[in-house]
Amino acid sequence: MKHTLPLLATLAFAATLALAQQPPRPNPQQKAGKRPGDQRAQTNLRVGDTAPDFKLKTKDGDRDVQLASFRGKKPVVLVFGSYT
Amino acid sequence: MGSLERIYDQFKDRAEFFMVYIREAHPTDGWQVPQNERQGVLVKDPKTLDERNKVAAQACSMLKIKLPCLVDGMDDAVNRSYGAWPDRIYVVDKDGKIAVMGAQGPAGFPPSVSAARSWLEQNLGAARGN
Repeated sequence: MKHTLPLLATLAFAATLALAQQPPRPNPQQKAGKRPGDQRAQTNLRVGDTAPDFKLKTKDGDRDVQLASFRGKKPVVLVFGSYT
Repeated sequence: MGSLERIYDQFKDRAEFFMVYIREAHPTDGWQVPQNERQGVLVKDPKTLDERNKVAAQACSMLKIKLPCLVDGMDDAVNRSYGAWPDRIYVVDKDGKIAVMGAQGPAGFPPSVSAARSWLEQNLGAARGN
């Protein structure tokens, strides 16, 4: 009986260790990503980071637009989306 | 889209605005949603750049989007680097740094529009001709 307490303490310690070693819980967005058709991707971007440069064509294909070309000139508002 | 267009009208002389067409959110051959079925917005996920350009043009004209429309490549590179899908708003400041980063998805859209407006007002001055 005198061993019960240390044994409990050891078990509790082991349980804490096991919990600490568990991988981080998936956030809700990653969970949602498991839904078929959900193609949400995480980004490591944060406010204050340099916006990744890109060069894309307009929908008519008549003009290339490069984000970096506005640097030092104007702010740029980007609205990402699709039809559906 | 309404309030976004208002911001566009107010600030288009002092900021650049672009709609970036990315991979379809709810194509008929993907995650189809009842709301789109009711509204007759039935679009297959474009498989080639040519198809994507056509759907982008259709989307930008049907939705009466005044913003210039850009089209992401079939590699979805811009979409992925910005974690943009299904929709998302960013404001990039004059130095090329991210000033406003909206939340992903339709629920994040209205607050992002407000955040973008506040930032533009604070940094470019109150809207003119309002």
